[in-house]
Amino acid sequence: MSIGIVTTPQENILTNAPVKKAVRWLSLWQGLWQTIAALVIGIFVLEGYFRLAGVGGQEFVQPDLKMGCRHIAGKRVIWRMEGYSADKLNSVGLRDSEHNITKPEGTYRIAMLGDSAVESMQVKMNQTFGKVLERLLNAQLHKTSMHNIKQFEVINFGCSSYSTGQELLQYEQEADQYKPDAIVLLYNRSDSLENVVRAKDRKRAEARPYFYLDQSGQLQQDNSILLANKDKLKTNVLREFLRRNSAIYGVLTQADFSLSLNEPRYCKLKNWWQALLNLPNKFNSKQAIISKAYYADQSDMAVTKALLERLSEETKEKKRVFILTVFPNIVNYKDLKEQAQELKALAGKKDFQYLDLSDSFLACKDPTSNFLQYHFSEKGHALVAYDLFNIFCRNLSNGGGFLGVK
Amino acid sequence: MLFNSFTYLVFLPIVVAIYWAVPARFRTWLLLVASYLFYMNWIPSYGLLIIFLTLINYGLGLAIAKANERKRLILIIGLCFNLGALCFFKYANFVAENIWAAICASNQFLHTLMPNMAVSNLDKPVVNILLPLGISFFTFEFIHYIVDVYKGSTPIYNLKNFALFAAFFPSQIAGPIKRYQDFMRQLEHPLSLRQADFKGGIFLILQGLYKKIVLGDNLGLIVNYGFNHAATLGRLDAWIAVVGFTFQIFFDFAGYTDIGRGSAMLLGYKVPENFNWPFLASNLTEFWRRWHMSLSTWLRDYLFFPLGGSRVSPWAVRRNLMITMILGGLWHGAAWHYVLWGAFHGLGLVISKDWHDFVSKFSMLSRWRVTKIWHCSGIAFTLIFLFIAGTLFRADTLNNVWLMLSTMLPWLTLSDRSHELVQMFWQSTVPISILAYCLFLSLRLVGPALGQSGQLIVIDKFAQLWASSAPLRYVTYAFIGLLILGFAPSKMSPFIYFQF
Repeated sequence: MSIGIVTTPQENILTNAPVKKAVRWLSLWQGLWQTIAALVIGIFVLEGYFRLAGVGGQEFVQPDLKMGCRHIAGKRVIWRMEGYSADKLNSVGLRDSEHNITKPEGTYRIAMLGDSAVESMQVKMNQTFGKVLERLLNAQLHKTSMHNIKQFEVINFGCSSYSTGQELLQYEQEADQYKPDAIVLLYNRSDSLENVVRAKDRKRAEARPYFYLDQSGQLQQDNSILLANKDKLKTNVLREFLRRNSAIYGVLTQADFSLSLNEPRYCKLKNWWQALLNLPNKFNSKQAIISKAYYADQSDMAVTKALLERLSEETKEKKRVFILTVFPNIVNYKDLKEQAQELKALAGKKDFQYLDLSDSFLACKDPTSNFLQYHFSEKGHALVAYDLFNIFCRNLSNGGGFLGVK
Repeated sequence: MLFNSFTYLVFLPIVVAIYWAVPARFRTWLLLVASYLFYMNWIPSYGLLIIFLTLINYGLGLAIAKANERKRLILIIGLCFNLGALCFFKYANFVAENIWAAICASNQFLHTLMPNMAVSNLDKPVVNILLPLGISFFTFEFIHYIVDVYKGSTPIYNLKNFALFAAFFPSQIAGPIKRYQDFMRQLEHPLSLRQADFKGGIFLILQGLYKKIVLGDNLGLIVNYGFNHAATLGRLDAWIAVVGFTFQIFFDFAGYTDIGRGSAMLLGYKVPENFNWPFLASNLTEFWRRWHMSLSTWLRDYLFFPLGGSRVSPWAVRRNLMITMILGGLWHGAAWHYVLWGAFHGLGLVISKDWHDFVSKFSMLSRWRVTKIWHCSGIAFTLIFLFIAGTLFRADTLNNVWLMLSTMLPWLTLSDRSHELVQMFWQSTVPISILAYCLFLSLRLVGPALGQSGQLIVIDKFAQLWASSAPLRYVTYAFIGLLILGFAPSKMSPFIYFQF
């Protein structure tokens, strides 16, 4: 009788090399299959859950070759970063209800231009100062007749991060089509800095149109930064699809934004990573390079005043009213105070309306209650609307000359 | 370094990877360096403080162990030294402010009696001492160490090991307050990396981040708004703020503990649990057995028992409870509302104990005590007590405490103002996140039982697949991470217990 090592059939299989290889392939294949299945199911579940919870819907601007960025038309936005709103951008991408380009007869149209303060994602659409003003003016219309005006219509052209230059372009390219009778531009503290780009900042400058005054003092547009970023601003079908439809994409871009704001180490790491990614481009001759500045560094206020002058002239040409409104300076920022003084002088010189919101905001018992963090609260919006309403009513009582309906 | 920061997200995997890659003999050194880096990330010079305290307590421990006659004297010196350091950093501002307030009050009194004697201009003293993170926790660990050595436990002879006990980063800033005997056992018999620990660690970290970021921080936005606008709140708003705070502090602290325990598990260590379903406690005594367990056991062992515990006369027990809880309140922060909070809990414990004794005397009441209705009523009463106590804890001033309580309680005022906070609550992600968390908890609790009994085969199958498939687990971890990212407020808040 021989004594041998008893092996189980399973052990026999595992010692067999081709079978072992097959088992390994099978487990690899199984792992791959499970990963793909988990990814697909996870994406669907997470997208659904994010939508149900109203998360990841804060991505509402897309790159644009002319303006640098613009709203995504028809996008439903749920805003939670500061305040709360859940509204849909209209079919042309305005943070407003639908408006016909053709102005109905007897309608007095007011176009609101500005940045995030006008866009007002922080409050519901019907609480924005544009909408409140519209309601106030229409209610006034029922009380007193205003010449041949049948209704007031306020259109919100506000878009986050826009500079005065972008607002001027927006007026020329978009708002003008709506034939507004009055244009209200809300000037914010950092707007003037965003209108110009200094030579040393060109490499890091945000992709948008910049402006400068040439040697003869004429206002000129500098599109070189936009052109250099042409590839980034071009429409990428997949990216735009995700931007428009994916809550997960929204969450990732939002997280990137928040981390960039709050985590210096994240910024450092991101910069290194981007530098690493851009390494091959350094040797790529086809890559667009940001050109050197072909004009001297500009005074941002001089350029801003030139932009506002142009807007004032264009509106005057079409017999439209232009109201320059300055963001309330409740913290008493020295630079904003100086800017406001210069803009007030310009308004006097060029004969357009000027409204500094600081006066009414500071007259409040608790001025801070008009703000959430940086933007107007519902109360703040109402206050802006009342200030504008007073301007419209005051001028209306002067024979309607202001309204251009003499 | 915050557990919920990007820096920690990079720091932890690097530490874990190097920790398991280096030979075992270097691991303690590595953890020590990592712990000091973690601590010094905030204010580097405070690293020196922890080194200094460590060296002194190391010496004290050895001296107590060696000494025969002067043992007690060394212990007293040690206690004075540790409590002195804690008081200096934590209570100097508080003491200076209160002395100044007393001087001002007496000066005013003097002015009314003898106007010529009073000082006209009193300058407020400015004491700007920044509280070192975690000092309340590691001084308690040092006190536990020297007291236990005094009682006969073996001291730690290896300085490196002792330094790591005090500085161990997963529990350095806000506990749990470790016991050195447990920690040393783990340090001297290091574990190898086990898959179960790795899985459990990642799971705990994700669970902690969910509790902290998704639930705690989002609740915090509502609570902060409520307490900052206490004067304008409606009744329901005030209740939302107060109930919200009780849950916020739980999610915040339990989240921290989970991340800490999870991080320790990835390094092969076990850190004690700090919470055991505290809101299911049916009386206050039980609550303190379930809430911040490492602190409550510390207070019991090193304060309540030395005072005489409950083996003394009924009045002495009441006194001991009150002293323990008032000092426990003061430990949380140098402000009168914390003292009040402690006193309120002390009073609650006294009443709870007396009620228990009273019920035990009557057989009928004793029979009722085992019924479900009694138990549920106990939970409800305990929760209401905690909500009111939470107001004392959260409100910065006594005026705010009164404002909140007068708005909350129907017999104090009749006003019913805006429902801004109610609206804010429903607009936030909190309701859906809590719902998802409850679903997860019920699946975790009931799921396995239903799966085994064959009632929910899907759960059982999924649990098996989850346990066996690594790709499935990693994809799920990634999605949970994404989920946390999606619900995170735009700015991360520090942990509430970091300020203690």
